[in-house]
Amino acid sequence: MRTVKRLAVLHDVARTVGAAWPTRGGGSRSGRSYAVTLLTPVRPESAHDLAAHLRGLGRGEDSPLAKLPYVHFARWLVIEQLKTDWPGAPVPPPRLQSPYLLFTVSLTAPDEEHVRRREDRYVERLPESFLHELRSRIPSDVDAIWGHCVGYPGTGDAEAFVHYLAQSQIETALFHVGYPDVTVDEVRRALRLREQLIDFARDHQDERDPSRLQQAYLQESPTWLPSS
Amino acid sequence: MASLELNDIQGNILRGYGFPHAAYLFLRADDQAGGRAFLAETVGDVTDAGHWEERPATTTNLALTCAGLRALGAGDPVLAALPDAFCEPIRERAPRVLDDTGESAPEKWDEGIGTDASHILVMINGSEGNEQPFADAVAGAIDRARRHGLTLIHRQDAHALDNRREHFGWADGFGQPAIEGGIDRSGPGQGIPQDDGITWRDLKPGEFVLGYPDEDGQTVSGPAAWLLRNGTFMVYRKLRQDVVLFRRQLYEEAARYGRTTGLDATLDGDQLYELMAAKVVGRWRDGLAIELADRRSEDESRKLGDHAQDDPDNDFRYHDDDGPGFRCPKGAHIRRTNPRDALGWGGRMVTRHRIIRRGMPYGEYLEGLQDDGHDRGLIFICFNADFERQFEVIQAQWCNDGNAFHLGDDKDYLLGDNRGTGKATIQGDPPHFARAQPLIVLTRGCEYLFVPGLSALRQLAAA
Repeated sequence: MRTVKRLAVLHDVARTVGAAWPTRGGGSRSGRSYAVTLLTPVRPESAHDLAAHLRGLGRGEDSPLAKLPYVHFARWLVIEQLKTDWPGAPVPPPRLQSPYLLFTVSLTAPDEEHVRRREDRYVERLPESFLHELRSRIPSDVDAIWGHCVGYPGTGDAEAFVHYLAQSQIETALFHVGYPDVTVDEVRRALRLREQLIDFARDHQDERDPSRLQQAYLQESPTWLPSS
Repeated sequence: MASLELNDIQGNILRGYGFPHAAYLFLRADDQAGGRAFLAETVGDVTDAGHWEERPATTTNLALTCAGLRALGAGDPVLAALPDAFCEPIRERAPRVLDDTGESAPEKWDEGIGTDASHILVMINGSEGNEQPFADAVAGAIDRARRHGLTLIHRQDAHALDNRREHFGWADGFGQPAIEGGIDRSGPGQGIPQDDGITWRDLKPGEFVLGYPDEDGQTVSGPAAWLLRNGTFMVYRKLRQDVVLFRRQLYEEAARYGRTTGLDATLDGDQLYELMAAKVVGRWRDGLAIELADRRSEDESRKLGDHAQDDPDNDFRYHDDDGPGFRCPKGAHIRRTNPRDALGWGGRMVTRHRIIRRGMPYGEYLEGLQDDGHDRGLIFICFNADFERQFEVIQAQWCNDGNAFHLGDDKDYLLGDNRGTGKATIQGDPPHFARAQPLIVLTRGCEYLFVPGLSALRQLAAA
């Protein structure tokens, strides 16, 4: 899934004094899916270390992102400087005052029909509910990454942490999501079910007797489907 | 349309020599001066794409790895301008991008290949009846290397099999891309399908030779342009084939296919084998496309391994008449490696992902179902302007995955599924779910190389 964003870095250019933050915007939402885009300025002397740290992050199950259960895709990226060598680039070229850390996320919130008050549900409290989750699930990873950014308060104070990141959110104008109401967990279970169904179909495709096929299905399928 | 500088482009890119003998000599240049001197002496022998008055006894072509360019002193500004795919150590890239894992992992590869000791590849081909000149040319190259202080780190011999076979028994090498300004004869079906549903257009040369406009109108520029012009990028892969395992499993699968479809009432074991073979590859073993002939006549339906079609018709499409894959299955090998118009949009999704193939089998042909323990397989070679966009899309997205064809994660039956799970669907009424074959093709080496134009080679060789 890709997130197409307005270049909020242009806010940085427009305010070369550097005093104000990019405008806080609402993320894009589709069903229970949501895209978060955070842009935080990096202390120039720390940019190199930050990039090295990001390159050294664990992969797959060892990634800090693996600990975030609702996240489909997420990415940290250091933007060092704007590119100016493309045909039609503005002259004089705009320059960033500092490198920036870009964090993009697409997630799908769980179905919380059992939570009576809508406004209490995770999906209705985005992005703050996600930001709280970052702090509670991967606090040391978050400190090790955003610790390189200007004004980062740390994970000690929940409200300060959430406020800092919420302030750095830029509007996601458009994002693609394949299945707006399907969580990561449901995707994984669906894929597993597909594998099991394939094995069954492949192994029983010669069964000509419908009742024997049904018998085999009734016998084997309970082990695939979650009990209701 | 700019015409191609045929005398500067290496011959094997644009011309399928069709010679039966090949040797691949991987050399390490321990010092820059020796490496350059070797290049300077060899470039005079390099076969270009210019017209042949008569067929030569042997041909010589040269390619360089990124490590080789560095060793020869190409310089950092040039190296920095070369594609990441070319410069990344192939032992790191191949497991991640090409799924060379498990039994195909780099730890299992032949000694020396795919390491930063591999600098220069000398490719020598020998034509029919010229075994001695061929042997002399190979010995000469090895001797020249030694004289200039280069080390032979890996040698691979290869030779064509009868009837254009590869080791699983298919006549191979058909369906090469038709290129604007190209020199090999080509026919309808080898280029890009046109919207009239009838004609085909040749591909822009920049898809295969750098320095000319590609399908996006792009050409080369920047600090490496002098090196890249008239050159191309080359994939070299040694693919070991377990012929007996493949045949046994195909026979079993053919029998299962016969039962599922009820065809075992009318077709015997050999006929079912040939039909199953045609379904998984998309061509009958003699080269005829299944899209053009979904059954063979009685006397043509067995033992298709004994002969090859001379010039099989390539003029076919998939989308309008075989979208569901009932004639040529959606996951058949040639439909994966060249989907033509199968992905919709009149074939536009395929135009930028074509490759030129120049591979050669290695090892002795084996008849029957008794393994002899010998190493045999395919030296897979292809040329493309861009690894990521061309070869790697075909390998990673079209062969090692099925998503593009709405087949989930089903892999190409012919290449095998190293997870040993999964299926290959033969669409039909009823469909048949074939078991994926594990471990029938194992990677035993891989290199990404650059094939320079002759003036670039001379410039590199100059002190």
